[in-house]
Amino acid sequence: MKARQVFERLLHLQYRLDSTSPEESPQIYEDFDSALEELQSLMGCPAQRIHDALNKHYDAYVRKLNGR
Amino acid sequence: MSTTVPILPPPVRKTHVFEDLASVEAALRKILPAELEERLLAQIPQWFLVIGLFKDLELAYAALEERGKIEPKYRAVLTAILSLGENISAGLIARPELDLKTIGYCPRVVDANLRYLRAKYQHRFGPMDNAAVADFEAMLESEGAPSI
Repeated sequence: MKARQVFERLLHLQYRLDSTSPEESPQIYEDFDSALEELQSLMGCPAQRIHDALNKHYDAYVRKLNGR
Repeated sequence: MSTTVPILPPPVRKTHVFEDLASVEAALRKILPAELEERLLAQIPQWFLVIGLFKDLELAYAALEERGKIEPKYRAVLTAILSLGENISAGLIARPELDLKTIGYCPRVVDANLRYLRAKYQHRFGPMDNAAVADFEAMLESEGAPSI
């Protein structure tokens, strides 16, 4: 369950990158990298695989947030 | 008896890489506005302004089900903003005397936004290993988590 929660957090941080000003990006990336490292450790898989999975699910996540 | 002459690719001119780069840059200068290099610092706030506008577009684009007509334009603007960022980054490296603080920015913000744009391009147009992603999803599922 923990891994799923971290994955959701990463999706939300990806959304934050798209929904906040460019000046906030460094702080969001700090949080993102920390969560990414945690998920890598939990799942034992390379970062690129997590990025791909995030990208695959991102649009559905945005639509869900927009109530579609 | 005829002998077949193998067709070999032209040799890679590794030693000429800087001359080749200069040629490409010179050719690009004929296309791009001449003031790009001179106005490096002035471009940065404009670049951030465009990124801010792009983020609105990105969220609308993410929510779109049908992208057929808008995708080529979306790709063009994303590529243009990324290209501008790469130029700014390369310019700042080449001209360390330029001080971002004079315009209220720091290198960390420029780097983070360049990372954002590179990741966005990879997200939208890069290759994806579908089998590896399916494995990852199965691992998440096996954790007892609700389906994605």
